[in-house]
Amino acid sequence: MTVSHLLRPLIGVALCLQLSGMAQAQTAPKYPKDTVMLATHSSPGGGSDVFLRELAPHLTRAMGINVAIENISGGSGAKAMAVLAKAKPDGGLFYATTPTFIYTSLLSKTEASYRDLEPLVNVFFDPEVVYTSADSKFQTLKDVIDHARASRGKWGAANPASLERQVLERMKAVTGVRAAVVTFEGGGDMQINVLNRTLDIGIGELGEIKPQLEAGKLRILAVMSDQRVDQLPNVPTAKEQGVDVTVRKFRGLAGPKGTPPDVIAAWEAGIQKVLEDPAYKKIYMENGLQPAFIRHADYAGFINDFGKETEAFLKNSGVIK
Amino acid sequence: MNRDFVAGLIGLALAVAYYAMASQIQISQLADEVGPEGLPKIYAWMLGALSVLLMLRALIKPTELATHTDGNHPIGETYAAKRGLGILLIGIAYVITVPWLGYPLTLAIVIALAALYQGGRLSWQLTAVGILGAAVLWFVFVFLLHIAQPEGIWPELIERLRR
Amino acid sequence: MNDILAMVTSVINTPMIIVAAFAGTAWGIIGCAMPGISPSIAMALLLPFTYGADPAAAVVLLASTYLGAEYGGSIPAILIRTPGTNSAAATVIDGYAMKEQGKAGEALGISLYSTLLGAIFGVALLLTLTQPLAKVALAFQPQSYVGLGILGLSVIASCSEGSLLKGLMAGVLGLMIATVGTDPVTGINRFTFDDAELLSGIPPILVMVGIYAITNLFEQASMPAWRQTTSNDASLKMPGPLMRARLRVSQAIGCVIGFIEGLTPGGGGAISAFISYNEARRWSKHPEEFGKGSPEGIAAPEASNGAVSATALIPMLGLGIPGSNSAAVLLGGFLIHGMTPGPLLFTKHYDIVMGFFAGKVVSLFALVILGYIVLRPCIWLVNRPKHYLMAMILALVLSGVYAIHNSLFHVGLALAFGVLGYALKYFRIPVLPMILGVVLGFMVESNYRRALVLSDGDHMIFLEDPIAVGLLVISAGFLIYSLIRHFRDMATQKAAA
Repeated sequence: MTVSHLLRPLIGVALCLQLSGMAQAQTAPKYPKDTVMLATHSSPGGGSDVFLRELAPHLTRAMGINVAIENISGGSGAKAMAVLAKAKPDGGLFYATTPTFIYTSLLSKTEASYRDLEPLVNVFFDPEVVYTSADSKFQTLKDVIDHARASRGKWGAANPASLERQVLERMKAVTGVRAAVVTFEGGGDMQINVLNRTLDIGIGELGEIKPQLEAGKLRILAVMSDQRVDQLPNVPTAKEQGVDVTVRKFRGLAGPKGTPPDVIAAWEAGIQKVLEDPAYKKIYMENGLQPAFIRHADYAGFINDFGKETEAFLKNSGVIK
Repeated sequence: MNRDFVAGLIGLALAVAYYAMASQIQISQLADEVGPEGLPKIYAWMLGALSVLLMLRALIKPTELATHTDGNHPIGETYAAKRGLGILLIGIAYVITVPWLGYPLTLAIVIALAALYQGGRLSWQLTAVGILGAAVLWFVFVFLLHIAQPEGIWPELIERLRR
Repeated sequence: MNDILAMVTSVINTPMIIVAAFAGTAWGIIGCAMPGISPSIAMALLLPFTYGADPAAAVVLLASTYLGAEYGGSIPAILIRTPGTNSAAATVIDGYAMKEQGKAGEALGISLYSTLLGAIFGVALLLTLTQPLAKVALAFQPQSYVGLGILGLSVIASCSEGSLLKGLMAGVLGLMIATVGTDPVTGINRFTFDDAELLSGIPPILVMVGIYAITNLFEQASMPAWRQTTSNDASLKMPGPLMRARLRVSQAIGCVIGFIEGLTPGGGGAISAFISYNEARRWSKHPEEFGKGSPEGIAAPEASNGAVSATALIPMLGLGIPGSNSAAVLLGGFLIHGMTPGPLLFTKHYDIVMGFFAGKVVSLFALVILGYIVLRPCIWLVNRPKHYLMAMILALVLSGVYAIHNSLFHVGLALAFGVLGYALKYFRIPVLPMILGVVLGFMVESNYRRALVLSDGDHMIFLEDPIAVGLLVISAGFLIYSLIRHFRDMATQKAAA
């Protein structure tokens, strides 16, 4: 798990830190706190940690607040959720959300679950892509499905009971083909088995497979988003190829329940402004992220739906009762 | 009853308990043919079988190994176990108290207590070792290595007093 | 030749590389001498400092930390029976036995010397053959890992200290401990009691610290004074020519096994350390000394650790795929500076790669110098009066176990493993097989099931993979050999009695 998290690109952090020196408060509505703590369950260098550290200097500029990052590791987010649920809703502490916090809440009895937090806003979608070895015979997603229909497919997901696994299981259900879904302990492990063609395909985040993609060792067959992503304009979505499965791996923020409206408004404005920032845009585009601002009013519903969908999947497949 | 027999008995009990837990693992649609309970059940059978073998061997030919005292413990094993228990209790006391008293203070007390228990005399030197030892470990773990050791009730108390 | 020139120029142009190599090595030694601080944590803590640094110096800093860590973890393993890192656990066995005989300085000297040799071997391969060797990593399929794991488990037959039955029991117990946590295929929680702290399983380092260090504290509590022979000479003693000759075979074994381990992602240094330890015993002229303070028993795992610290970087640099958490942090260090490790790294960032390699070489020197400096105070510390030493070890263990996942529950669990270790001693059940089970259990189970998912339940898949077949044949050979020896020994004992 850690390996795949750590794999996420960190490009441009140096640049951000240099900028942060110059960054000073500009005009913005008065925020109730001088310093905001952004917490993540990932360890330094992990996926959400990098997301926050890259975001922080740009937020400072956009919102006129100091931003500090805190790593609350332990229990795959269980500890961080507990801290957040107990925190004062004064706009001083937020948590970087990813599907992990929903999975952890559902898979174990945590002290506090995702339902005990207030989703604030969404920032990005992290596009999931289906890829294969460059030497393999598969040119489109349809080839893979046809092969699985004719004999038996071998598909790989980085982790068991994860979003990626869920996507592959849905692909199987939608197309009705036979495929073995093999799970690993992280994306790197799985990539090797795609490269040596033990597996027909693997699924993972775009940023994760960048080195092999650049070297021409892997080929992306489909994007699992509902639309093509800017970084890969020529790669069709799964939907376009007749496999109606989409997924939105989100990266956003959540706070304690009862976060006041003026704080929420400040963040809605701040995040939109940050996403427009050309310096930041360059960084996140290179990391393979898709800007996906969702305002507070809709985000709670989004998280709720995501949670329900995940819960249904885990229950139907018998992972949880 | 010799020691090997007891070991076998405990092993068998463990195997049975573990098997019972393994068979309660729920069935998943995502499961493979082996399943999450597959290997655990095999392990339980193996431990059970080995334990029974050990018990049988102990019954058939009780070896001297079972009765002979360990050269390391000239004083006798019961005494040794009792002494060891003290260290365990100090450890447990640490786990219980540290969420309240916080890391540095509890650690200083634990160091002093353990040193006293091991035959150190209550002196300024022992107190100093406790405080200094805790300070050094705090410096390494909390300051250098950024490990968020428990803070205890102090931050909250201070904030309350301030208000 | 051009490469050497490029390496020299990079050091001359960026003297920061030398500083980084020394700083990283020192940080790794100190950080990982604390039980519970893994190399990857020590490296991750440095990441923020590398943001603004020169790219080559930044990655050198991280890679040197990894090297220092492999050595640092062995210091407490030898001196206070507390492995600082997973991979130092095999060093505990003979290292601490030597320290008990008053030979701490010599044990540490062998450890330093062997780590260094292993690291030199690894760095040499890293410098010359990274790109071709990276392809070797691709040859490993799930079934190959099963073979590797079985080979490791076959060790149980020969490390059971006389009672095969009890050794096997301990091994199975270890395998059981390794099943706690999220199931590798379905994601169901097994034996976790719905506790989020157990989701990711019981960390092997926690079991090792419990079984070795805490059990030892319990035992020492009843001894009036630390057995008096243990006033250790406060100086590091590097092995002399005779000793060096004796260690050669075990170090070669450690190097080769560490090299293979480094190339195969997902293994982790602990496995190769144990396999090296065992192979060294198999090939030793004095196998009876193992477990009682054999210098070869330190040399083999330490050489393996040194080799792993360099060869684990090969798949990371050559493929962009990190094989361990530590390699993943280093990958992060490259990415921060806009370099993407992988097949194109060498052509796109030739200068920085050469600077990085130069730094790896400098860190070898750093290891010798810093290793030498740090040992005197360490030996001095363990020569303090027993009640203070024990109290400080207890405090260190309580702090370190907490640091693994910031969890007090884990501290309690480690104490429980201390009790288990004590019970195993009481029943004369060997602990090493259990540690092996804990270290290898997850790898064997997850890859066994993975392979069967791939083959749709057909076991023939294990015979189709040449690596798996080779490893399984070797394991079977060893197993038969040790069984024959076991029963022959029993027969001679009977005849003598």
